[in-house]
Amino acid sequence: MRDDDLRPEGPPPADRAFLDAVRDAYRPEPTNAAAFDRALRQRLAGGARRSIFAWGGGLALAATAAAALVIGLRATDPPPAQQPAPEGAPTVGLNDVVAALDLDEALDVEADDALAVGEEDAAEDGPAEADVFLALTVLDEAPEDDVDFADETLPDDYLALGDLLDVTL
Amino acid sequence: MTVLAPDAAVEREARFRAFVAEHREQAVSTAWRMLGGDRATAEDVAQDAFVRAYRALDSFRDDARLSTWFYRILVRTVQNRRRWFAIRRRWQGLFTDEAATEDPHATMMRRDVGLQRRIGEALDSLSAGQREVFVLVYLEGFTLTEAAEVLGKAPGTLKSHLHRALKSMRAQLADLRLGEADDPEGGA
Repeated sequence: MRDDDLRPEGPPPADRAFLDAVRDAYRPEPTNAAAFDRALRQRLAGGARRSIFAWGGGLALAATAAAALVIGLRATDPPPAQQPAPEGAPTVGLNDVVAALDLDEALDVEADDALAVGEEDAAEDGPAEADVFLALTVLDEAPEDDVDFADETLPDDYLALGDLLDVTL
Repeated sequence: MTVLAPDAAVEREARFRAFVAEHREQAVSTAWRMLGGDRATAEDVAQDAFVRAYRALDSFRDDARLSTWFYRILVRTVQNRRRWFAIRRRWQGLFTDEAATEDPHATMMRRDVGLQRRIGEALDSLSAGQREVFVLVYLEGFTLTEAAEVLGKAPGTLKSHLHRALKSMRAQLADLRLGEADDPEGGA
């Protein structure tokens, strides 16, 4: 595509009125600048910093537990991640986890970006959130085939995700 | 840790204050629109991005580059929040009556009425890529080039997303006749 194919960048004339109406109708109330800046200062000072997410670590645990539940529902007893999987034993597919957790949007994230964000969050919010981001990163790179988490020849990220799920189980 | 000279520290603070003042409204607005109208979460996301910008301030001498980086962080944080919404909905759905679940996103959507709710639902139905570029370009006024830098995607890809997003939004909101002279719900 030539560069000039991208110009003009504005919407087609026939759509401008529609978009103007959407823009006007779908906007937040003006921000209370003083309150916003006060909260930002508090957060910068570390005094009243909220967690990255409103539900914080509890939700991270919930997400992890949900993933674990998926594993648990499908696993033999004991879970395959706790001992070497016998030949022919069922494995849990990363795609199953993606589907069960409704994580389709995670697949839009580039692995490097997800990992970078995870590292930043790990520094700020402790390991639980970093673990979940690790899971998202692995999911982002997931192959189509199922993965046996007990396979110790898997890359480190997969084993780390297996450990994460296993610990929760 | 680098200790800044007093003058440098003052200059840094002034630069950050100016950056916040310039981008506060648009940051909240962008997050609010991408999150479907959740005010508290939008402000939380914006503040989180500003905190990161503060820490990265010394890495960007050029405010334009800082701005691009800032909005990239903002969009990623929005993406993460949306993921958590999805995870939470799924998690709660496994054990509880979903209709009785007090989900922040659902609560927010129930609070919204009329036109805003319809637009929010239409935006929510778009793919993540379509929604992000639609909000950035058509609602927040980013150029296609700026949006491509923020989202880390090729302008041609975004143009395709925009086309599909606009087509979908028009179809979903067709009954409202938005932008037409006799718009029946324009003031809703």
